[in-house]
Amino acid sequence: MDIVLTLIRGSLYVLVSASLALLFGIISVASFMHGDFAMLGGYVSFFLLVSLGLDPILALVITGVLMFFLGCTIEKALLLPLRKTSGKLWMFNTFVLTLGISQVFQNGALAVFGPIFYGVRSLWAGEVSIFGVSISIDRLIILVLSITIIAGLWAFLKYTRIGRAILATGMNEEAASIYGVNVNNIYTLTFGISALLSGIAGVFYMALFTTYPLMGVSYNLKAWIVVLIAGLGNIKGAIYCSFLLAFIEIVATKTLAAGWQNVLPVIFVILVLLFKPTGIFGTEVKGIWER
Amino acid sequence: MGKIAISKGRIFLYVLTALAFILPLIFRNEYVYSVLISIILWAAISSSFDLTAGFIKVTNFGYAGFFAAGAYTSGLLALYYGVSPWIGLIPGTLVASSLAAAVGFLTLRLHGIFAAAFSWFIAEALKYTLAALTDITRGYHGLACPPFFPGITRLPYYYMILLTYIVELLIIMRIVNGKMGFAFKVIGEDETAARTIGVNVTFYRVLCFVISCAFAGFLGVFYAHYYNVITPDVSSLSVTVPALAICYVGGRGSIWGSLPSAAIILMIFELLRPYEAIGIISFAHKYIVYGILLIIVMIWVQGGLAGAVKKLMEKYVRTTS
Repeated sequence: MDIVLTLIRGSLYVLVSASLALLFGIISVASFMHGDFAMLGGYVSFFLLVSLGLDPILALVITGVLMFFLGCTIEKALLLPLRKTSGKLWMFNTFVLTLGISQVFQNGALAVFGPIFYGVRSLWAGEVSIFGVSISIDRLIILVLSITIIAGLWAFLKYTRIGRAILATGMNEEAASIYGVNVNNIYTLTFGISALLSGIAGVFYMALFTTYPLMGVSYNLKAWIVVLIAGLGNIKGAIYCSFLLAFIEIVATKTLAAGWQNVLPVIFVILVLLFKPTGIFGTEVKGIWER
Repeated sequence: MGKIAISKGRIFLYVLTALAFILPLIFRNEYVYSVLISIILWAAISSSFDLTAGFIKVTNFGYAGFFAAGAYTSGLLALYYGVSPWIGLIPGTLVASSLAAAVGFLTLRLHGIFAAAFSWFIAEALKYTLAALTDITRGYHGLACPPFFPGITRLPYYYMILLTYIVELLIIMRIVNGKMGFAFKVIGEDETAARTIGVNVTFYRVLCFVISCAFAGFLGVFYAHYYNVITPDVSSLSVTVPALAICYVGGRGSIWGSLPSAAIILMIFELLRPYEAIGIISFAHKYIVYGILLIIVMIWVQGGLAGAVKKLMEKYVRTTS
């Protein structure tokens, strides 16, 4: 029972956390706005699904494409000029800049859509029973889709030319550019991919719960907790730790009084920091502390 | 030329200070007092924020947590033990600074981004804790805090926060211009260089963080007993974002830049207040403004107001000499 719940809850975190870890590991951007990409993804898909009455899969694809372009635009318009002037403080500056963008998005959504919860009853109706637990088909499909998307990301990074160029940039930017990789395009592409993943996570969140303007706040916090537990920039670790965080939260919800499930993960982060400051899985990207 | 410039600056400062003391006596109006108080309060908050953001280059995303720690310590002491807010200033500051020492010790050994993210977690955890402890803190119903001064006029609060701000500036300036400030600056510029010349990097980083957060705690106590009610939201980004934006717009590492930037930003919000009443702009729009200001300052005007003034001065000096 707990395992199934953990998997489903974790599948909501895994996309955002993986995209955050991707940004850390490849282009050392500390993003504060991935929760808000999820929020925007939720709104976009809501209007595609409800106003236009599109098929869920089609809506998912369109949302993904739109979020990808949004991510690319933001990178080209805002992060690129920042990169030209930042130098050593790059990672910190991106943290502050994305906080600014996230404030605009959150409060813009609040001003445009109002403090209203948007949600759909279900993407796919019906439920099935696994190990004596009945689960809606929605949750099951979302779990499968999340895992598929993560596997797709992995395959993309490992086996395509562009993916390998991205990984190479993450390892050593200068060397990659010597070998003919256009580093600026890689930055844009990586940011776009991470926006796409977060946007899709937002669609799933909207389908299972609801989407609302300040949704990004807690989503962002959770993704950051996962990334810190796993070790900054470790994508594989982030995937495992998303499920770990989901497990911790489910245990906390069961055993503690209401309101405390948000405190326990932070205490867990404190413990991890005390005993293993580089995160449970360590960091494969050693240079991350130097940036 | 240099000497004259300095004494001119001094005179300007004295005039400004005197003006600050006289201003509320010219405009005898509660509304003016409240605007002035909020300007100086936010300038004071952002100046202490600047100490970490501008010197050791750690942007404290959890500033609100330390602010709330001070506010709630004093508020709870007043509610349950009848402690006067004047005495509450001491435990409030102490709790905030010891929390900062713990967080700093835990995270400042590592790179700055860790401390920033982690203190943000602490602030969020504190928010959730305060919200969950409904029996003690009344959660989102808000904790009522007794006022500092009897009576309804805000005038004494104005002088209190003005004095606090002046003392804070004097302390920060003394630190910044002394040996400690040199250590802070070197750490911010180049950590390896700082280690090479024998600066204990971790110690000074934690020290800088603790001093900044001690001010946060003190100002938190003022906030609690000035507004008379606090909710767990004082520990959220809704406090950190204005502090961050005002500090960055004023200019990182300038300390004084917070005052003009707080004055300009808050005055604009005051001018827009009539539109707020009829619902054209809302709470959300203020944070959109803060967000846009942050984006502009990060990308195009990195020096902020202080940097712009410095450039202007250089131009002026060059053309006259």
